[in-house]
Amino acid sequence: MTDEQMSANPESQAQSGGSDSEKKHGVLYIGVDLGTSRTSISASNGVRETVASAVGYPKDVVAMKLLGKEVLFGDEALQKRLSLNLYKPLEHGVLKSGDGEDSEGNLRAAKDLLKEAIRLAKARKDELVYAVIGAPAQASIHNKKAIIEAARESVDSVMLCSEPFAVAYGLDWLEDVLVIDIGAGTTDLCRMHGTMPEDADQITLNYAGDYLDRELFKAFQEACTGADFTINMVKEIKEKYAYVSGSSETITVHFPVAGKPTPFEVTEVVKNTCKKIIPPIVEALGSLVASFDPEFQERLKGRVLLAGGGSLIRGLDRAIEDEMREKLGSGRVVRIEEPIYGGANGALKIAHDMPEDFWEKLK
Amino acid sequence: MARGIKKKIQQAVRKLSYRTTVDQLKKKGINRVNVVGIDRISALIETAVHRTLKARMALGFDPDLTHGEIANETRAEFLRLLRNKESLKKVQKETEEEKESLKSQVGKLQEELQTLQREIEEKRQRFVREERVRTAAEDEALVQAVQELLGKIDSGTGKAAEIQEELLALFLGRLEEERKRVRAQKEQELRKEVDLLNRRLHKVTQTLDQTEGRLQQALSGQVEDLGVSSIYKEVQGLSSSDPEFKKKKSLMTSIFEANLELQKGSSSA
Repeated sequence: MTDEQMSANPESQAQSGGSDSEKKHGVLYIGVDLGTSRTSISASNGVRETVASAVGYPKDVVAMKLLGKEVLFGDEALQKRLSLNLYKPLEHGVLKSGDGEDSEGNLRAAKDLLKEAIRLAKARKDELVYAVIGAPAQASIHNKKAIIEAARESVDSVMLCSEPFAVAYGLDWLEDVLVIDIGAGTTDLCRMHGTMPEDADQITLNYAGDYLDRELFKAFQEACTGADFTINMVKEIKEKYAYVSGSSETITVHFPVAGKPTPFEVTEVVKNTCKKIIPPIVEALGSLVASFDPEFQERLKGRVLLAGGGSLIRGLDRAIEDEMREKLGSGRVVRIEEPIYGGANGALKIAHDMPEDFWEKLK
Repeated sequence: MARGIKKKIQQAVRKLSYRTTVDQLKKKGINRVNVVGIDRISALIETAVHRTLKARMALGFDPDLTHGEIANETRAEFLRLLRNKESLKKVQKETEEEKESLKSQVGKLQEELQTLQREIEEKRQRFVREERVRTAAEDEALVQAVQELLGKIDSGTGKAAEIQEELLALFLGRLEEERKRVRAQKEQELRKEVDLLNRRLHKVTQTLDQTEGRLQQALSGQVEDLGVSSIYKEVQGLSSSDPEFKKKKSLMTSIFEANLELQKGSSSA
C-alpha cells in the first residue's frame, strides 16, 4: 500500500457490499474511554457524552414495572440502586472477573454499558460507524475480547488501543512523553517514544481515585468524631474539594451525628490525604525515566502529561512537579485541558487517522 | 469553563437584543410574536463554534487559516444548525397537522365502514324477502289459472280433478326448475355485488387500522430519532500531508495488527 492510499478512498467504500450499501451517507467515528468510574464518548458528529460506569437491572417484576425499564445506566442506576441488581463492571481498570453468576453479570453489564455509550453517540442508521475504544493498559486478552464482542453488536468496525496512548496521540505528543492517566481504579503511566508502547513502557498503580476515597474515609473517621457517613458521601466531597497544593478556602462538610447534620472543618485532612498518591506516582515515573535512553531522560522529564479524572485534583500538576524536582532533579507537568474527554478525544483522532482498508479488514 | 463560554455567549446575544414590553408592541400594532429562547440561540452558536473547531482540530491545526475563514465556517455551520432546527420545527408542525387530519380521516373511515356493513346486510335481507313474496304470488296465480282452465272442460270427461292435479304437478315442477335457474343467476349477481362490497370493506378496515396506528404515533408525539450526522461524508484516513505521517502510519499499522490478531483469535474462538 502506498502512502497516498493511507488517505481517503471513497471508491472502495462504495464497493463494500452487504448492509454497507445502505450506509453511504457518511462515516461516524466514535472514540470511547471505558473507565472504572466513568465512560466517555466523543464522536465526529460533535456529540460528547459521559456516563457513570454503572449498570442496574430491576430486582423483580415489581421493580421493573415501577422503573419502566429493563436496564438503567449511570447516575440513574446509582440513584435507584436499592431497586436494582447494580453492577460496576470495571474494577482496577479491567472487567471484573470471578466465578459463576457474578462474573456473567459483570460481563453482561459491561456489554450493555458499551452499547449504551455507543447509543449516546446518536449515530444515523445510514452512516458507517467506526469506533476506537481506549482500553486499560493492563486489560487481559479475555477482557479485550469481551469488549470487542460487546462493541461489534453496535458498530461496523471496532479497534482497541491503550488508554494512555490515546491521550498522548490526541494531543500529537508522540515522542519522549510520559503520560499519567489517573482514573478511579488505576493510575496508568505510559512512556511514549514514537512507536507503540510495550509492556516495559507501561506501569499501572492502584493509587488512584478509589484509593483516595478509602484513605479519605479513614481520615474522616479519625477527624470527624461521631460522624456517620458512607464512601459515596466521601467520594462526592473528594470530587468537589480535592486539592494538594496552594491555598484553599476552608472546607467544611456536614455529616450527621446522632441524626443531626454537624459541620466539620476538613481542609488539611483533604489536602494531606490527597497528597498520598504523589510519591508512588513520582517513584513510578522515576523508574520509567531511569530505564530510558540517558540522552533523552531530561527531555522526557520535561514532557509529562497529566490526564484522567484524578487530574482534576487542584494543584496536582504543580505538586508532582515539585516532587519530581526533589526526587528526579527536574520535571514539568502539563495537565490536559479536558481530563474527562482526553481519552475519548484521542481515541476519536486514532479512528479518524486509521486507513480505510484497516477498518474494512476488521469488519 | 464550558459554562463560562455559554454565559458569555448569552451576554453577547443579550447585548445585541433590545428590550420592550407587551404594551409597547401592542402600540406598534403587533399582537403576535415568535419567541426564541436565549438558551437556544446560545446553544446553537456554541455548537457551531464547537463543531467548526472540532473539525479543524481533527484535521490538524492549519496555521495559515485566517480568522475570517474560521468565522465563515462557523457562520455556515450555524446556519446549517439553524436550518436543522427549523426543519425539526417544521416536522413537528407537520406532525400536528397530520394528527388532526388523521383524526378526521379515522372518523370518516369508521362511518364508511358502518355504512358498507349495513348495505351488505340490507341487500341480503331484501333479496330473501323479495324472493319469498314473488314465489308465493307466482304459485297462487298459476294454480288459479289452471283451475279456471279445467273448470271450462270439466263437463265432458269427469276426470277434471285428476287432470288438474297432474297438470299442476307438471307446471309447478317446471316452474320450480325455471325458478332455480333464475335464482342461481340472481344469487351469482348478488354474490358479485357482495364480494365487491366485502373487498371495499376489507380495504377500508385496513386503511382504518393504518390510520389509527399513525394517529396513535402522532398522539404519543413519537418522531423517529434520525441521529446526528457526522461531519465526514467519507472515510478519512491519515493525510499524507501530516508532518508526522510516517510515524503515525507506523503507529496505526501497529494498532491494526494487534487488533487483527486479537479479533481473528476472537472470531475463531
